[in-house]
Amino acid sequence: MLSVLRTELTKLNRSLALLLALAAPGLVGLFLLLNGLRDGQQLPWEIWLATGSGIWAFFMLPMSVTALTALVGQAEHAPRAWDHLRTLPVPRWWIYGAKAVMVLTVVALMSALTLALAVTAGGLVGVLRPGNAPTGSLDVLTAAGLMMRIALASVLMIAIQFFLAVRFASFVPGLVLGIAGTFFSVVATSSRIGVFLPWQMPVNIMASDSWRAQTALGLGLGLGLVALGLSVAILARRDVA
Amino acid sequence: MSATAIETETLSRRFGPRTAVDGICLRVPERSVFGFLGPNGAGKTTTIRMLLGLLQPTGGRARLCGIDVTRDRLRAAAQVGCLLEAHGFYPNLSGRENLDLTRRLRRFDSSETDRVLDLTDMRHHAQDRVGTYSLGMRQRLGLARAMMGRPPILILDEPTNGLDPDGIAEMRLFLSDLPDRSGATVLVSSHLLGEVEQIATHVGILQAGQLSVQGRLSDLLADQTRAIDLATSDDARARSLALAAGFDLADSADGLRIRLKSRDDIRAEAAALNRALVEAGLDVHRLVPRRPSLEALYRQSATRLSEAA
Repeated sequence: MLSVLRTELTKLNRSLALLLALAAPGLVGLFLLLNGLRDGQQLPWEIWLATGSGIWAFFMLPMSVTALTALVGQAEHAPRAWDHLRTLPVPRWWIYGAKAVMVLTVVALMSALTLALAVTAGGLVGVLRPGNAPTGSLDVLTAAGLMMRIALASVLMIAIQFFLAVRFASFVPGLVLGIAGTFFSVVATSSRIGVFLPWQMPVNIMASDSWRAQTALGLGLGLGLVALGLSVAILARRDVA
Repeated sequence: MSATAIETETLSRRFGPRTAVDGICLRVPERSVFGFLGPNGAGKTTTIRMLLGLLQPTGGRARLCGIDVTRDRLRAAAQVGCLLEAHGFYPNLSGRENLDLTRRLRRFDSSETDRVLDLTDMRHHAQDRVGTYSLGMRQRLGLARAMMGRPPILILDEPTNGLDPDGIAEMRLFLSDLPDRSGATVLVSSHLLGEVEQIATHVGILQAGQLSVQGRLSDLLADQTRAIDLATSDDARARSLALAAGFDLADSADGLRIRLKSRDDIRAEAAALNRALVEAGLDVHRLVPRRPSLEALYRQSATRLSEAA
């Protein structure tokens, strides 16, 4: 299984998926930097990092997952690489399982990079415009814990997007659902039932209401792992005509 | 290992109401180059996909080196290297990186990549991205990947697709030499009858999902009618003379065709016919022995099938 996972990571070399994995957190960092350089902006580190995490969880993570899974799926669909992979004497669930694990790993790394760039942007603001430097103490561990919970709550959304991207040769079904999911999670932020929408689960981790945060984490991670397992099983068993 | 490398028993596949492959019993002997022929839509690719475990048969079974493909896919898949019509290479990776992916998945030694790159003369392009490769180079890289780990069976779907004449000639030499060089059995699906005729030791012709012909190519060609195309100063008289000499007439749309009596000595029979015509005072303008060909065999099988239908 490790060799299959390694091959999945190798496929990212010089790929659009890798570019996306760097660009999406980069955009959050850039926004924080430009925002921090504005006149009259001086925020405590806690708010500064929460802003970064909020942008990530609210919008950038759902859109990035949609794009990442589409690119990862198309990397196999476009050259019709599934055929070759499925002829190999390797259990098919390894192939799909490794791909799912690779996507989870990339999302986790993107979350970590977002946090790192948020901290870097705060430091840069302190250098370029000392009057706007974030104030107070920098608690990276707490911020990292929050980012980790956001990433874990996104597993159900990842599982759904992953299944669509791999199941269908066209990227359209996954893209449409991802855009629709993100749209509804944005417009229904305050809705109580919004927490049950997979695309809104990551941002609900930041809710002040602990019920919402716990529900988002429990459902996002628990159902997400079940959905991922089912996706891998279904994809491995089906005929590809 | 069984004496038959690839074997199917009433292998069938339906797609809804349509039967793509209809109970075929394929026998591909070990160390043979088997030309798998048929028109578009005959079921060649569906059969190949079932042999490779990509499609489940709706009836019958397939065995590779005696191993049932459906019951023991992993062991059966380990016996095969394949080149499919869609190569499935990642254009963002180099040729070497692409081969290394397969090598790692199959847990071969790292030297295996170099070996197959050398075999296919692709070492110089190994560091280039596959996205920059020509179709011919991709085809060779696909062949390199298929030969990784020296599999006893190679299944090649249209291996000459996209190759220029030099590339086709190279591929022909390469494939015809493979059984002797590596002991592999090669199943080649192709539309190019002339190419297959030059490399195949055995052929199978699939028509409308049914295997209409299969066997050793030399035997199948020997079974074909041999004839001479003739043009003389008086074809009507030549016809009478040929009949009187015991020859049969064969159907021909473009002139007089004489069916030969023996299968062994075409030259002697042609000479005897020529002598008879000349001695009767006829001028012989044309006397061309018709060689049995795979194309003629292919046409015959298509005709037989349409007549049966």
